[in-house]
Amino acid sequence: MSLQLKLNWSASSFCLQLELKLDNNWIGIYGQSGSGKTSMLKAIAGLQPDAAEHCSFRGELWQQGQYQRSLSSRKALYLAPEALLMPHKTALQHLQLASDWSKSPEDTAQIIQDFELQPLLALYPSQLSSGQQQKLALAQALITRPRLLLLDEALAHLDHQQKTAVLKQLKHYQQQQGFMLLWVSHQMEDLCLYCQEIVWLKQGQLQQQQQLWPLQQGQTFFAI
Amino acid sequence: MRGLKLVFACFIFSCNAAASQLIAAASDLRLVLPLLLAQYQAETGVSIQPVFASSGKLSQQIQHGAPFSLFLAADPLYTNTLLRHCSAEQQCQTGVYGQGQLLLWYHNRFQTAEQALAQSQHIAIADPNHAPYGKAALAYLQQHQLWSQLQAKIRRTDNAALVLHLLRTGQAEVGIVGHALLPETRLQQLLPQAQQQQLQLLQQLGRTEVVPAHLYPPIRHSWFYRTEQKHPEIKAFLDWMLAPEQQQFWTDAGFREHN
Amino acid sequence: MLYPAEWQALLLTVKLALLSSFFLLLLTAPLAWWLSRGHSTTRNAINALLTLPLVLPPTVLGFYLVLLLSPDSWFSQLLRLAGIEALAFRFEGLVLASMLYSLPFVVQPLQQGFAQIAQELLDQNRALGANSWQLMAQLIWPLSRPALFSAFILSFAHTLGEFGIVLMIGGNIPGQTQLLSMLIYDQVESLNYARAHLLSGLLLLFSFSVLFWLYQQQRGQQQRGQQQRSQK
Repeated sequence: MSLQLKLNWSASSFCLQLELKLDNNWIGIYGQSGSGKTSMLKAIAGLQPDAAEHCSFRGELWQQGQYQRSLSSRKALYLAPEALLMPHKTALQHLQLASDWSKSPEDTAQIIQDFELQPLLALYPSQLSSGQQQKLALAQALITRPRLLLLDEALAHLDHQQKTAVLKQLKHYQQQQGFMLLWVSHQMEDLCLYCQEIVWLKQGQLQQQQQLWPLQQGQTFFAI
Repeated sequence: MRGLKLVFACFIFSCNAAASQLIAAASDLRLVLPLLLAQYQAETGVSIQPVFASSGKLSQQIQHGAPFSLFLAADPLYTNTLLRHCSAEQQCQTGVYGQGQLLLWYHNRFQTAEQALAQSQHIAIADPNHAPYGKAALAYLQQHQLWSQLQAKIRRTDNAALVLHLLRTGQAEVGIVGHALLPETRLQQLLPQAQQQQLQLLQQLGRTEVVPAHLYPPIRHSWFYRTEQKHPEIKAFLDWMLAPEQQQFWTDAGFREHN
Repeated sequence: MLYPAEWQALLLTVKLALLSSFFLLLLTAPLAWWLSRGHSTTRNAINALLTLPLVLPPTVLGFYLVLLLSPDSWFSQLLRLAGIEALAFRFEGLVLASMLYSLPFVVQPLQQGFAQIAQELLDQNRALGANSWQLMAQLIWPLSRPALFSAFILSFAHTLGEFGIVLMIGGNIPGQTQLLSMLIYDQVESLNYARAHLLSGLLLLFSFSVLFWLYQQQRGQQQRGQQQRSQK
């Protein structure tokens, strides 16, 4: 069992209750706005500790009741829809810092090349478009060799062509580094194209969990 | 920038100038005591700095640890209180060295002091609660036949010296001050030019009258001394100040000999 | 132009303002950081407590400081155990008083500045592997420098103009507690209006120059930052 998760959280007029077991490496998460996708990802990353009852990843306990594994030792990175970048650091400094902080960093030069970041390196986040910011945040995350990558609409500001290129690189790095990826998107066709499994949330509940690949005979997915 | 930081650092950690000899004195001595100290310095070479406030405030400060070994008060009440709080090893002493006089100043648009008291808008005195001259002035006014009218016109200042400030700036047309704040001409001429000018302006602006001594309780000036290892020079000054040679100075400053 | 006593008071005033602002920043920065990380009843109570010097008259603070610093108080006896003389009527006592008095002028801007640093950004970088020191050096320190700066300016300027508390606890002792504001009061009392004018003018000019210089510095920093950004 790769990722085991039990959420039980209620805020005003919203209740999140689900139990999940995920084994595939590339998982899409789909659902309407307000269905609990973001809360779920944050709970896994450890950013919303009161939402999760239990969480374990690849045999390692991340959360159980009061016990909380620290953010830095999880190596789970949550990328928000609006990239969280340091306003006073250039793109290059972002990549270098991530590389300094990580024990076994990816080759920075290679990442810069793969994500075509060369022209952006000297720029500050305020000088980047929101799509460029997302690309930078993703590259920064990959440098640290995460074990779990949680993308919350984190590619939504990229145009179609760029997104295709980025996803191709992401696939490459996923295979190379072996991390697990949870990808929240509203584009069902993207999810179907890249994901091995799709989780569909509705009003804080698990609506459907569907294996896509390898395609199983006699099964159809009615999400669209 | 680094040089600037260095300058700052030197400045911050620079030692304070070696604490000079300090004496505490009641505010009515504000003008004349510096003259006496200058004379003492000329004779002996020892520089002493005065700190002024009302007698009540200074005695409070000394009780709370202010570093004065000599205190010139305008009322033995305060020096006696300090004496009672004194420990044996401090070897505190007190004594009376003179008797202060009240002076009534009134604007020269009034013909007489009585008229001024009756017709003025404001009468300035020091705060009777902690300034001896204020207490004496209040006692004088209370005996006055017009007391019921005068009462509402009284303006209190923090200490005796500030009464002059109120008179000089026209905030009161009548004021009762210590004689030492408007000393004899011989002493006035020794004051710094700026102060002389202000006093002359005051004298052009109004008239002064010495309040008869039987109209208010005596203002006895007393000294308080406690032995302090750090300032042996202060005792020498005290002895010098009380010596007969200085009697003329105190007379010019408006003091009557205490008997 | 200035007499030695006036130089002494001027230097003492500036020294007091620098020292008390510096120590205040050092001591309150962690507290302001904690206060900026959320809301709770405890935080609100502490915030209210820290803002008190802003609304209380200096006399209240001065009164209790006189009692606290006088040689017979429990505080002074504690200090004596540590080998320190009672602080009443000494420069060190004034530093303590100014720190109390300027407290809200430091805590408020610091807290507001710190609150600008989003918790999400800190969490993100922690997840990227930064430890607390690295967060401090790369993120918190550079982002909160403007806030530290304005807190320092405010505290410095506020201390320059301090009078009420000094009047109550200072004792007007030359070289120890005779600040410029006290000396001006002194000169007014002894009818030395010319010196009072001179010193007041000096204080005005000095305060203005310091504030102006500091604001210029701040703008310079901002401009440098913008230039860096627009080079590419």
